Amino acid sequence: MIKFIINALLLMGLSLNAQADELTVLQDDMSQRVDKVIKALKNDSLTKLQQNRELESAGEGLFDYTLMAKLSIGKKEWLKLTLAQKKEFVKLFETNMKNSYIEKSHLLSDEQVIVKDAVKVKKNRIHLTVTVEGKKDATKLTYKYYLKKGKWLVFDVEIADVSILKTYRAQFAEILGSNSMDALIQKLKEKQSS
Amino acid sequence: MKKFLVLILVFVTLASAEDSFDEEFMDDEFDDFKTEVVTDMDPLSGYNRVMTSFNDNLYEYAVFPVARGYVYVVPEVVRDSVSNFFDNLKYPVRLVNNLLQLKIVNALEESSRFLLNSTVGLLGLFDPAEAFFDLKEHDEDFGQTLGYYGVGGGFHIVLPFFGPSNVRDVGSLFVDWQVDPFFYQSGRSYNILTQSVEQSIGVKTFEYFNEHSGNIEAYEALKKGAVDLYPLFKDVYEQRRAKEIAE
Repeated sequence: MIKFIINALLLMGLSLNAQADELTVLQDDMSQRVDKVIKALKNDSLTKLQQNRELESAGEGLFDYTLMAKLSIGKKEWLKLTLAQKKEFVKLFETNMKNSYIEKSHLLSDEQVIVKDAVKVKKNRIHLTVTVEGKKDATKLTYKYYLKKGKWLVFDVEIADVSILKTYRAQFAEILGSNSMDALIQKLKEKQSS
Repeated sequence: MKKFLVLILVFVTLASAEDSFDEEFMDDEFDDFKTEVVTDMDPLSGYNRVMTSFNDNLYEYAVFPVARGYVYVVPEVVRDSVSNFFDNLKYPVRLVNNLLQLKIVNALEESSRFLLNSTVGLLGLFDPAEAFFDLKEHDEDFGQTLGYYGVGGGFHIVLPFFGPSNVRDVGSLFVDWQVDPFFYQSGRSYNILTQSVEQSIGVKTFEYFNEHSGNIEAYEALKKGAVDLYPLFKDVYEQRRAKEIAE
């Protein structure tokens, strides 16, 4: 019996440890990405294009664009699409997300970015908080991770409690309310070339 | 044979899992995104769209150029102090709405802030209450008070100059103005800081430019990512209000 209790305690300890490790890994990963962003923004010898390339690579492998694209139009619309449309839409969505992410990152050049705590909110969900400390006030960013085949990927980011994915959903629902999917794809294309 | 079938089944599942486009749609797992977006009642959508692009042009061609000039001439420290000054004097609005929501501790904290910042903070130009005593502002307005008691936002209204709002929040402006010391209303016995409508508009315009001078880059960044400006601004507004009411 004592052996069993010890074993159980050990197991519990181990799993707690593993969980803590998981959170630290994500925090460290985010810190490295943030460092890369800040370094690129502070490097005056880089052109804006070079900076953008650095910013893009800092976000590499962080987001699950396919899932985000799916959730942004919802199940009903997604299932209506042909494979070609799905691929095109995901690609365009990814580009739009990346561009908008890069654009927003440029706002960070004079701010202090701090990676705060990561919290496991569910078995397969982690919320990681990052704060952007300006001179006057701080903005909270929440990165929402989910576990996909053993890898933690971000499926939504909240900026000052505003979910980015929800803003996409609102825009796409409005567009799809009176237009076809082709029209939405066309709009995304126009946006990309503008 | 059975084994063989199982193997095939496993492979088929594996293969389909490879291609995430055909993966089973697992929105059930993502609580916030489970249901389809219901495009809510928006009777003013035509007007709202026009007003959104009117405001966008107004910001780009009138407000931001002036605000940029202002930023160029006025140092950030001064702009922050101006912002603190206006903020401090909106204490009555915050006090009343904290009290209406029975947030007594917050109301006390607001009062301590007002006393400290008006005196030690030199008429509110500085914010020693937060810097030294960690006394935080608890921004509440009448729209939030109504929301707190369960009043929904109603349909969306885009205001000229000010941007997104809704029926509840537009109506609430008139209530908040009654305790806003910068607001002037002829015939009322307590016009405190402004003595005419013109003065009131002048002060409000100055405050407007001072506040907007800090938002130019953020506005541009938000706009760059927009696929459709009107539903984007509308959603950002509604999400933020929902959060502010929940706080």
